[in-house]
Amino acid sequence: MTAASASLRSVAIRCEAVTKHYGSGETRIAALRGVDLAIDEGCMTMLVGPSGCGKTTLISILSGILSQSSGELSVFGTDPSRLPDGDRAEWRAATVGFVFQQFNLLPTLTAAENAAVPLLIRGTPWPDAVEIACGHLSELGMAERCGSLPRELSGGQQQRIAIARALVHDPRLLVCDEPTSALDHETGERVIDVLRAAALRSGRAVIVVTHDQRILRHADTILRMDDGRIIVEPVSDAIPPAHGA
Amino acid sequence: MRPLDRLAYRMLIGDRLKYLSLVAGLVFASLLVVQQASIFTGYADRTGSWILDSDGHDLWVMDEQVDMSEDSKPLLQTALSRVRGIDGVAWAVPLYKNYLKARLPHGKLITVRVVGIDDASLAGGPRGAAREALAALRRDQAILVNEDQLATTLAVAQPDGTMRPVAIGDSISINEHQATVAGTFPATPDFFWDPVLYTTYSRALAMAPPERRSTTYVLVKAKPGVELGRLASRIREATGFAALTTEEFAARTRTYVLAQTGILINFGITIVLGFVIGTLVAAQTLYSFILENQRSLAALKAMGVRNARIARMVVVQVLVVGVLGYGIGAGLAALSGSLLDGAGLAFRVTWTTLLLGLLAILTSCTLAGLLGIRRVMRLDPASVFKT
Ligand SMILES: Nc1ncnc2c1ncn2[C@@H]1O[C@H](COP(=O)(O)OP(=O)(O)O)[C@@H](O)[C@H]1O
Ligand SMILES: [Mg+2]
Repeated sequence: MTAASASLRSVAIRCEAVTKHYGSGETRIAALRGVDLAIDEGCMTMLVGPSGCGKTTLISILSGILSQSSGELSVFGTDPSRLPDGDRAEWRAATVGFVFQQFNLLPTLTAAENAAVPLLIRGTPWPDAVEIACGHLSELGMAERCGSLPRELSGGQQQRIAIARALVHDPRLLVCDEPTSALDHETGERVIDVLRAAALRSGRAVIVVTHDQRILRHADTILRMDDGRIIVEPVSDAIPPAHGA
Repeated sequence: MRPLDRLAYRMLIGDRLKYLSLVAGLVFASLLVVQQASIFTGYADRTGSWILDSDGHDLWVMDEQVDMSEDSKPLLQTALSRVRGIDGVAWAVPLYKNYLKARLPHGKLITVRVVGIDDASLAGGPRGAAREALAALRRDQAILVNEDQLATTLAVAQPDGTMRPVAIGDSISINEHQATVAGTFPATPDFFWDPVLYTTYSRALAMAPPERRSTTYVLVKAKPGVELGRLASRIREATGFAALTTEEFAARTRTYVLAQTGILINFGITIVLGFVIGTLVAAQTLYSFILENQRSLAALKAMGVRNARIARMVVVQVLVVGVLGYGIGAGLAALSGSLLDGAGLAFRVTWTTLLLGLLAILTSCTLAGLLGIRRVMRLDPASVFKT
């Protein structure tokens, strides 16, 4: 274990021959057909590919929401699929920040309260959690909107709440499904900057599923998926990195 | 409050309209349940009122076949002397009770319950009667009438056609025997509606038809220090008669009336219907509330809330609306009760009713909650990635 972790020091996530199928018998669908990948710490990884190729399935497995059918998985040294349900939930709460495509904000909570949810899940007292969350919203230009309800806000503003919520508990892994799809170009760039800043700290990783060609140039690595498999191509071969790092 | 419990509460009250309709459903259910149960208790309580009102003795000795307060089975002539001879009996007196026809001054014929109490001691008379009223029974032809019914069942038509309450000095003919109203007494409202008239034992026997001229009950006072249960079984062994305390007799009456008359079934149906309708409304609203929250709850699961904590959140929501709805509903029921009570309807809210009602409402809420929780448990957290 110690020898292995020493050699994996800079690798945040490693998959070996990971497969996932849904259902069984006649209706069995192979969504992942043997995924091998290694994602380094301090990296922003973008996951692209045609619809139905298995992107959502893959990030669900990496974030411990689904368990792989076979194969080896290590996320910061843990294979979440081997944890009992309750522990896996707690592992997610401690380790993963999510930005869902549909935002999934709680409609009756204010922006700050929504962003505070991961802290509340981990037991932070309500007022403290809301204050911290409001700080994160302010960094995203939402200082004035901390007390607004989601329905009073635009799609872009709601997306920023979702991003503040994903970052508020300082997770090691950030998983984003189409984080910029609802945003105009300028806001999209800003959001990517925030996500990048989160990724660049040591011991962190950010995975972004996206169709947005405009943001691909911010990626450190682009993973192309097709039909349940992955093709890794170093970003330097395709698009010059936008940031010096 | 734990942060997630507060979160559950905020999810609940966030949508005012939905929240109010949830609470309103439960208020409605609780109101129905508590109100029907209290009316039921009120009526059940009123069975055997006249025996509960009777005063002065410890035990009622009666034919073993007697099921309740309105059931008069004649005792053998020897009953009184046999009971008097039993060890531990301080004194024993006869009491006569029967339904008889009474003709009011203006000629109207009604049914009354005539109770004849011992001429000498006047034991077994109505507890609330003033000393003078009881003493007035010693006058010739005297009867005492129930205060509450003076202006209703016993009202007298005047020559001009208007009605007036029956009054002291009025003549009432009971089974063709002349009687005079000598006084009144306050009586606890009775489930059985025919007016109770008190007179002396000998006068009551004289009024009764010849074939019914025998003691109905023997009232017994125990010697000081004698245990009533023991005395009752000694009487039973020695005479073959049943000997009951007033409370026991009232309980036997209540049980019989509830079991043998339609009121248990009728009220049972009303209570069950009210309960079912009310709780279905509540449960349905609650369940759909949980379903509408599915997406939010799935997101919480994805973000790392354990299933057990999700269940707890639903329980918090159920408890909040359940307790609030029940509190308001039961309060309204009590309020409506004090109005009904004023209108002469039987209505009694007991702690038992309130507790059972709360239990019933919370149970149905919990069931709805459990159904909801079952759905939420099965929620696939991966669904949060779906569009
Ligand atoms: N819960 C599920 N049950 C059955 N099949 C599923 C389920 N989720 C996804 N799939 C199938 O698995 C494949 C990969 O889906 P998904 O990971 O959602 O792809 P993407 O996100 O790249 O569009 C698709 O063929 C999809 O129909
Ligand atoms: Mg997808």
